[in-house]
Amino acid sequence: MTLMKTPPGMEAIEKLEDFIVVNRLKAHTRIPSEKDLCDMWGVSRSTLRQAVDELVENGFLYRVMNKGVFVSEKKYPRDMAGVDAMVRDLIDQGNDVSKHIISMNEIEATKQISRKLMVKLGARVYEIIRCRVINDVPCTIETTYINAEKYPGFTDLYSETASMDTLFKEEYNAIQTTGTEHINVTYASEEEAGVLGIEVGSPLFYASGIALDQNEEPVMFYKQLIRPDKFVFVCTVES
Amino acid sequence: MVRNDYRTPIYLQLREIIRNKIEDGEYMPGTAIPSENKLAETFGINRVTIRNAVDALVHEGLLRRVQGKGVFVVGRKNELSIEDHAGFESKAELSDSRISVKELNKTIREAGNKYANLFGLEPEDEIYYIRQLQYINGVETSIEDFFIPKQILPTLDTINSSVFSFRDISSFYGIRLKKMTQTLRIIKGSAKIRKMLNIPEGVAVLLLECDFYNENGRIIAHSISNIRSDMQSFTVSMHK
Repeated sequence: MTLMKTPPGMEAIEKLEDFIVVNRLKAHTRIPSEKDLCDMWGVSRSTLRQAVDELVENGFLYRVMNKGVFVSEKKYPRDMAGVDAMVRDLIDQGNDVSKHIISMNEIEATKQISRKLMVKLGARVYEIIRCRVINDVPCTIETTYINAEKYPGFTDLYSETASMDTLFKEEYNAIQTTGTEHINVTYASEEEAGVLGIEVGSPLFYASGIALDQNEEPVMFYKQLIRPDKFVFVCTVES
Repeated sequence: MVRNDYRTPIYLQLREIIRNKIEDGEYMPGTAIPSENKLAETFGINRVTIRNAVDALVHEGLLRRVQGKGVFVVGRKNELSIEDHAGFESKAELSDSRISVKELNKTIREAGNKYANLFGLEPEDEIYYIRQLQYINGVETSIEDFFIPKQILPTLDTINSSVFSFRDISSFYGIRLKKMTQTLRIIKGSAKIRKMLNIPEGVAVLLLECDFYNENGRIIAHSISNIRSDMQSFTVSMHK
């Protein structure tokens, strides 16, 4: 196999990515002008522009009209190990994390909820809808379903300053252990767009799953909508 | 900002209602869902809201619009375990018959600044660059770019990488894959990639990047996958 020259487009993207990393460019730093970068790397104007376009489309850079191209803010990691790990990490990194309860109700289990929580159709279930706000920006909407017969009074104990994980552990002796999470892409409805302050139809991560307790019985079924301009999913697999 | 008001009624989320009906089997794959007019009447919602909800599910890949015929249920999306995606698992163990791979490109190139820094090489050092097109059930679903230093797998060019996973190939060389880190983003995707994968307007791309580590904690391969989000979704096993 012979050595092939890296295509100019690919090379320009990599140079640009490397430039940001090596120079430790902080968020909202303006990158040098197209002309300067072209001169520095000896690439054509159109090749460079395409490279910038691609990194803008991929969310690593952003353009400001008549001002130039800037480095995007680093996204928060959403650990695939679940929501609690995410919140802990965010707080550890010095972010201001709070949540707003949009609604908290007792409902009858629909077919879907009954199957996920392994309860009878029409069984009493708590539905808690929350929005997580990070550094004053609404970033996620979470809908959580909890078996009201197994965890009576949960909604009386839960508040914006309480942690679900802690409540389950301390009040009900339920330790969330494992589960499987599904990660999809969905598009914001009007209400969701309103809550998150984004455009209707913007793509969102849609993560859903069932958290199990130490006896492998469902503790909760949740759906989380996550802004992809704020979060990136991260996962580490070891063997 | 969301007000903390427990009495706020839960706004009817048509998208979730339709999604649940598909999951519950009330709307069966291959059948049409009720017309926009009918849905508007049933749920007392205006047509614009209905159209938005249906559009979202079309873009998600759960529904398909057929000109002049209505909106049909596609059924469940292809769901793959994220740990398996980039060849971290052995193909033999995986044996997922839905997946097939076509190699589009396998060349040796210079590492360049980015990969020199990532792999701890000099920019002039050689790396393999492999581009694969992955099909699920015969449909192009993702494009995967692999970058591997030549010194790690010196004769990779003689191995068919569409038959063997990266784990298999590494094991041929006595390399133990110790760890993989992954990041998953939602992006618009470049025009070129969107064209190669025939991605419909309005559908987002999932960008999955993986770093593979050997026992000494060194990165020995990097992969970048552009994935059609309406064709594929992921599952993750959570460990606490």
